[in-house]
Amino acid sequence: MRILVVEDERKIATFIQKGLKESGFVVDIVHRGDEALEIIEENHFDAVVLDIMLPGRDGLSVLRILRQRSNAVPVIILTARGEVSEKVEGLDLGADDYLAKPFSIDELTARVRALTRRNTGENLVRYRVADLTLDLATRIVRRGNRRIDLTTREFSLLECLMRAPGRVFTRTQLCERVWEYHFDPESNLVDVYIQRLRRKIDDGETTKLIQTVRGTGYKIEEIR
Amino acid sequence: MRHWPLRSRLAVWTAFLLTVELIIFGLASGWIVYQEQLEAFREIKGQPNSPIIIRKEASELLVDLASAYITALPVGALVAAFGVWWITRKALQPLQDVAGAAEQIHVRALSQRLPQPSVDDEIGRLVHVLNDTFDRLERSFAQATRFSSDASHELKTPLTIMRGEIESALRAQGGNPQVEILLDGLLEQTQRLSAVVENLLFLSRADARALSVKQNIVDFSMLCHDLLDDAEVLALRHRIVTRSEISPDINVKGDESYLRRVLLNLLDNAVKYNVEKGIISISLAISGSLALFRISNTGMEIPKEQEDRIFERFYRADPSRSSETVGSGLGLSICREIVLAHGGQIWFERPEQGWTAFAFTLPTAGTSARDALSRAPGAPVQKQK
Repeated sequence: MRILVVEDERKIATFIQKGLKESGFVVDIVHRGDEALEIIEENHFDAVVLDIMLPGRDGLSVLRILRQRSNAVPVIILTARGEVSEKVEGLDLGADDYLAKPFSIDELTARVRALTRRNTGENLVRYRVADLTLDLATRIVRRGNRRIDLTTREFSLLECLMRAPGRVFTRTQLCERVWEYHFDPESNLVDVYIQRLRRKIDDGETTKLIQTVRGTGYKIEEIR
Repeated sequence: MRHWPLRSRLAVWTAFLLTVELIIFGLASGWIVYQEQLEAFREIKGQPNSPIIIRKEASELLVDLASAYITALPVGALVAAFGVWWITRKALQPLQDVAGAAEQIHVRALSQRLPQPSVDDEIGRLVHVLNDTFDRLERSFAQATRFSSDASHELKTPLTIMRGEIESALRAQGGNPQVEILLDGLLEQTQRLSAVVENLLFLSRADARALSVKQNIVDFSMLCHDLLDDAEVLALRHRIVTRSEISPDINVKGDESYLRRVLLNLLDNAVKYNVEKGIISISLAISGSLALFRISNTGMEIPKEQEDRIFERFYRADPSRSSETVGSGLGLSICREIVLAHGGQIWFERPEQGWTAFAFTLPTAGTSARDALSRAPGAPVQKQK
């Protein structure tokens, strides 16, 4: 899987490259919008991570030209503004996903993975870890044949964990994703919701899927 | 008369003044005619005609004159009033046009200008002055919006780098607990800083009237139930009891993620400023055409003289507690901006001794078909996207 990262801030480009490489992607970097356009035309990429503020040509205009030339390469837009209007504009122009800075590299990796999977025809809307499945479209969660009813919060929390199986999420990260709010780090909100999830998912099962990583946070993984 | 349009007021005043003028003129001319008749009577004194007849002629003349005046008066006044009404309509039409054109210029179309009339009269000057004002308005608006977007970029780029570097260091470190605690602490602070930056930028966008608020139908009762879940969890640690009274099926029009933010901010406050074994009480009800949300908590009271300041930025109820309680002091100002942007009101209440409460209203919206579907019996409660 080959990914192009278009980002003028070299440090950001470097750690994106590092993060994606760790997940097994081949990563190319360009720092200018006009260069990006040339490279995408001449090469095949499985996905493009595209910053909006770029020298040469801005990200939205790169995207517009790509789509005008009917190039359907999956594109994730990165923006520092977090403005809804910009997001809407990007998605209208044919971006496949959107991520606001500052983002977590795990989040980006998970989204790139989802995009490339979507492109290869795999089922994007269902996540699976061992015999646990989560369907984003129907919002149905099953462990084996047992159907699990979750509240909104529990569902978002599980979705977050299942998007990157094996990856450790800190309490703050989970709080940020699920509640979009920065709670007092002393608060036990995440722990209590994890307990509830465990009760519903792991109770009575021989393999426990939700793991506590001592001192850090939580992950979902099948430990054999 | 104060509420009549300018044109009608001018017409009535003209009619009134004209009537007064005509009455004075009539009285004066009547007086003069009468005097002249008297003089004529003196001159012809001793002539065969009887003065009584002359007197009678004079008074008959006066009566004729008076009746002519009385008939002419209302007609004259009406004609004058109509004339003024018609003339002012012609004269004020350009002003009406200016007002109509100015109405079209708002935040979303600030670049439009009023058409400058060809004649450089009073209206021409007014249009010129208004256009100058719009120029200045557009410039300062653009400046404020650009500031928030430039500041976003300048602040978020280093934060993105810091976060990325810390996260990759966390992954690369070889299980050294000391390093891990250090990096976790740094990550935590980076995220806290990001939250503050996000909040400040939010407020600067709100000041520039550049918030984009979605207009979806939001199941507000469901949001409150989610909040209640969180409240129970957060309250557990301080053995706080939660009570609730949430009316079902209350829908509002607005932006779900913004509304969730208001609720979480208020809940966060209610927990932070509570006491051990205290109480948090959450209620949602319909009040006329409004949804009324209220969250009250036991705990530290806000001094009366500081009540007006609690929605101010960076305000903290008790400065001595600021090191102990986490938070930027921006929560309530953000709540206020969001509620106002949704066409609601937010305020502070002091229900009884030892309690504080925050309440806000939002205009309600009808139930949408989609909502009715998603809450069909047996179906799990769905998150609206």
